[in-house]
Amino acid sequence: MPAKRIQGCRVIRWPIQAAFLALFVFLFLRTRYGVSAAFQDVFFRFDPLVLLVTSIALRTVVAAALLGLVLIAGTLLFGRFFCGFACPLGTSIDLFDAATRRKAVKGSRLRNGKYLILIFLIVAALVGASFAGFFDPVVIMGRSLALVFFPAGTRLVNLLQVTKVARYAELPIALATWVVILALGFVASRFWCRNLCPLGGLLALFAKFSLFRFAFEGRCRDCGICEKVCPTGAITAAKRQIDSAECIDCLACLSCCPDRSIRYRVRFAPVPFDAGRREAILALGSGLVLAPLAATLIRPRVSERLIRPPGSIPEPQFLAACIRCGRCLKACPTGGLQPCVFEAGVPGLWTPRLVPRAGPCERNCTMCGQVCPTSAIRKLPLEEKTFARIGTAVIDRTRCIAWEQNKVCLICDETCPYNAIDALRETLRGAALLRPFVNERYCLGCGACESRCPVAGPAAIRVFSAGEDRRRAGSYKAGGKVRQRVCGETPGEDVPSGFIPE
Amino acid sequence: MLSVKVAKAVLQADKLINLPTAKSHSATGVSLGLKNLMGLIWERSSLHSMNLHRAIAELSLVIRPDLTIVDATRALTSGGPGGPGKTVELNTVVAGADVVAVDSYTVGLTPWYNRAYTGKSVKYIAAAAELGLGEIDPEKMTIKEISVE
Repeated sequence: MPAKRIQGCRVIRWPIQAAFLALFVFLFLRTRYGVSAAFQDVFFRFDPLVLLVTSIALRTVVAAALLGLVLIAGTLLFGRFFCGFACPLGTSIDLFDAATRRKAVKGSRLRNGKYLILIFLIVAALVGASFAGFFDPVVIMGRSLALVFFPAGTRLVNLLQVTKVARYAELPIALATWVVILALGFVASRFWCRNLCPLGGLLALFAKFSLFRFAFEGRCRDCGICEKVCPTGAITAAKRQIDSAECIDCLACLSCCPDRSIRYRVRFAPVPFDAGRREAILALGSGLVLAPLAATLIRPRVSERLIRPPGSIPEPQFLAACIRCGRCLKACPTGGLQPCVFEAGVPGLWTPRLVPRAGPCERNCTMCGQVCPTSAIRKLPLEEKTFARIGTAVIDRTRCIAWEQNKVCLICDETCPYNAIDALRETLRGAALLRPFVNERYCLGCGACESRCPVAGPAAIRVFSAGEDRRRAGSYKAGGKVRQRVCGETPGEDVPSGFIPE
Repeated sequence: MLSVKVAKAVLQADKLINLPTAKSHSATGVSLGLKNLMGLIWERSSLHSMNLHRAIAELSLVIRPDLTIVDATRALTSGGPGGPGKTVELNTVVAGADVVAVDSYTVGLTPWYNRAYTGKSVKYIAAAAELGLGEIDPEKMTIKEISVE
């Protein structure tokens, strides 16, 4: 095929794709403590699949993602340009396909798969379960960055000992997802985009009626080159047909045509769906059966050690709103927020939980709520966050060395940012020492105590989810399950045993 | 046997200046110069599984500050080391080459937990004096008071 002509589309498209991917990675890297969270989640805000599925599952419009309507409008005008130019997963797939020189394969019946997955997601959302995060390309790419590439990158950079290594509890499944999606390129180019991607499917529904489209005009010598270079198999050269629902606006056909007979023009010519009415009903029917079945069988699990970030909405809504994008995990400055593997059941995979031994919840930080694109974690001002209880600490007196071994240790008391540990004198086995007590009126469950407890293995003081305060709306401070010790108020302590008694 | 990691700067420096703040402590009573040195080892929580007061004293057998300067401008006399608690404005800075003497002298400057103590009443300071690391009795110290406007 004429090499010179291919250069034509590469010159325009690849720099733009590279720029979007670079922007995506840049915004991801900027998602951290100390950097204002404004505009960092812009990719997620324009995502209509997140808007649609999450809004249905939550029974509320996710206002943060309303810009998804703008993308829909743009698709109605210009077709699936998002897929061809902006999608970070699409660009990764293109890079992989180019490296492995995949041949474009003519469109097959498999391409209805993206509509089936879309239907599945919508029906699941109708019964309150959101699986959008497992199939949305922007979320998949973001999560792969968070759980796989960023930790690997910090490990590499840390050879120079200049940065902290990021560690997250789940990597294999996230990596496998990304690898499988790219490896599908061995079957056909842009396999994911044409056959599986529900966002692609959603955009395709609108692109079918797009105002601007690629179409044949004028002479055509029937060389069939356009059909061969199309990465999504949208062209049927014999019928001079380009299906704008499958077309991702990649410009390959336009630049490869030796007669210059393919143009991007205003033309209303939607290609009919490649499925009969019977098939459509079958698809809808099976979606209606499978999705609720899946939602019932794959049940979420709530355990006493499942601690959600401060400001998380109540659990059923949380699971519906959380798109498992991994941004809160990235933004948490202590590394305390970790992805669930199966602690919250299968539907809870990759949702965030606090693991105090990995890192406490920093008192003066509100990053997780600030970066959450769907407000599964509410954006709370610091004033409110310091009243948003996520659990309560409990001392295991059989493990605590101050209780069990008569040792002098009050590290939990020293480190508690809310002054929720009282150090009171108890005489046990002949020794009068100060021992720690958790004061439930003040404890927020931040886990500073558990993270600093010197006992090896499970800490002697651990945070449990009992007492958590999760509200969909309204004030934590005013609603008040927790009080705060005021400066000057008598702290709960007796005279330390560090003094020799007179 | 336990080995600990020590901050590199300490091992490489010619002189070590120790700059603690005057504060009470829920475990050790007070936290001054000798206690401040705990921050220079990585596995400091391991001291809690030993006799803490003795371990703090023994730490300065290995890490010896050349000069200790205690910031006692505002002493946190209860609720320490983090607070909140009762702060006393002493407007004083205590400095000396003998860390035990500096600590012992600072204890005598103010009541702690609303009671007056001497250096001898603080277990970790007493343990350090017992090891011969410095002078604990203010009568035997050479003390110079300098007023600064």
